[in-house]
Amino acid sequence: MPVTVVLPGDDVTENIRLNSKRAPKIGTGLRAEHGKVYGTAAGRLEQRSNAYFIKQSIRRYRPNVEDRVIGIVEDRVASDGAGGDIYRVNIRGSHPALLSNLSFEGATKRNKPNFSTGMLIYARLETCAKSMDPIISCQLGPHDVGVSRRDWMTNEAMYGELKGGTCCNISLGLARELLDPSNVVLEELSRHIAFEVCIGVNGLLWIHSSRPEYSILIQNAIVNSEVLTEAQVRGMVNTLMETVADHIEEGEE
Amino acid sequence: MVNRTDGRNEGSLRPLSCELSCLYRADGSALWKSGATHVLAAVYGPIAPQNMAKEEEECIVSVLIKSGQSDQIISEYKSFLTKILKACIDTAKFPRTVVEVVLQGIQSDGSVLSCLLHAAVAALIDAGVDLLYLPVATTCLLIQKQQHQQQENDSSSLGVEILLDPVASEEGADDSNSEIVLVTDCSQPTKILGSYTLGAGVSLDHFLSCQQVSAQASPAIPAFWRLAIEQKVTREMQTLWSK
Repeated sequence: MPVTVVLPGDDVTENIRLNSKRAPKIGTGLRAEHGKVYGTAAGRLEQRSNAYFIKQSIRRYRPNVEDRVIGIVEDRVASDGAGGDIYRVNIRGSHPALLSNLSFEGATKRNKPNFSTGMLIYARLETCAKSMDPIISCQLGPHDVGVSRRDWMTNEAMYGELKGGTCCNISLGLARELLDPSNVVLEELSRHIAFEVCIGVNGLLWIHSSRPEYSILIQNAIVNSEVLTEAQVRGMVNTLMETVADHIEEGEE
Repeated sequence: MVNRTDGRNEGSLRPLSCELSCLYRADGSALWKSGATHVLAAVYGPIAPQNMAKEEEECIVSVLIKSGQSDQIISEYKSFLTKILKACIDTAKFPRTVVEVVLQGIQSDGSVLSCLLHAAVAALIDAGVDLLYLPVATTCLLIQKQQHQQQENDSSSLGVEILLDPVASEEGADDSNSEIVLVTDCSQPTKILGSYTLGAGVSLDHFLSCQQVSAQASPAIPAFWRLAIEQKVTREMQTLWSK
């Protein structure tokens, strides 16, 4: 399929195929005006069934409802009327998000999680009205059908605090690629080391493993994989693993 | 035909070079080189303004220029660039935010204002800030011709010579020279979005001649941007995106 590279201001109306049954959906990086479609971002024009958008990898997050993000708790802002507290959480977007410590599964006035500054939370974006700060929540949402509902106190809930580990910033494109089930770098790394990883589509990556050296190594491997081809990624991971080969052997014994 | 110090003819641009995403902390950045004039641009945003009281319904565009030139010139460039960029950014899309563009003049060798604008636009493209169109700037230097030097060309009847994309030595050669920077929409090169005049005033005929020169030369800049983005997309398809 030929690749259409679009710059802001380009007229791409011819590239949008008009389907007689449904009107095409115009997504990120495009705008419709007077029956014509113009690009507003630079990148490749992509089509997914009926939706058209520009594929680009930027660094600053733009909130969308039902995105799963990692946030860093900043401080307490206010108390909501129902006995909980509202905290300001940095999600690397244009505005900080708000999170109430009652928006957790099984949380009540007497039984709610304790937040501290610098804590990492894996949450879902509940609302993002243009005139307000976005609101995140750690309760299951409409896209979490089929996930078992566990209380926040058992550490088996889908959303909640990320304990331990290390966190770093990545580009939004890399975050999307890491969420792909067939991602090469994560697959290669998992052959050698056992680790936990959490990817926020807002460009935050959390890694936890048994030793800090492994966490740093995994972080470096993932960040490097953004600019390497598949074969190069496999080679890079193998080279990095050799540096900790002794530790891994010791660990296995 | 005139002999310019670097061997160019009147209507040719200097070689261009652009490096995107060169700064790690900025949301978007570009190192733009036009001949020996180098500008580094960094874009932060859209991000909430530090003072909540300063929030507005549409995005605020803030331009900061750091350069070796005088404060007066810098503040004029700043207000000119702020107006141009505010018009081309889709400000309605990002309410209650600020887009900050920081321009650092690394090296200055003429046509600085055009270079500042192109670096800013390249950095905005890199940051993914939605733009309605791409503004392109061309700098025309008008030299008063001596009587015995009049030759057979379009502008001979006007008594001026128009040099495109002047270097510092050409700009500073004579105080009676004027310089016009014209900003046009890249998809409509004959429409003028803004203009900035330096030095002695120019007549309407001279202005229209400059506009013709600019309409001919300006497509080179968006062609260069397109090349830069095509290379980036090709590279990303091999490395970042698995499909």
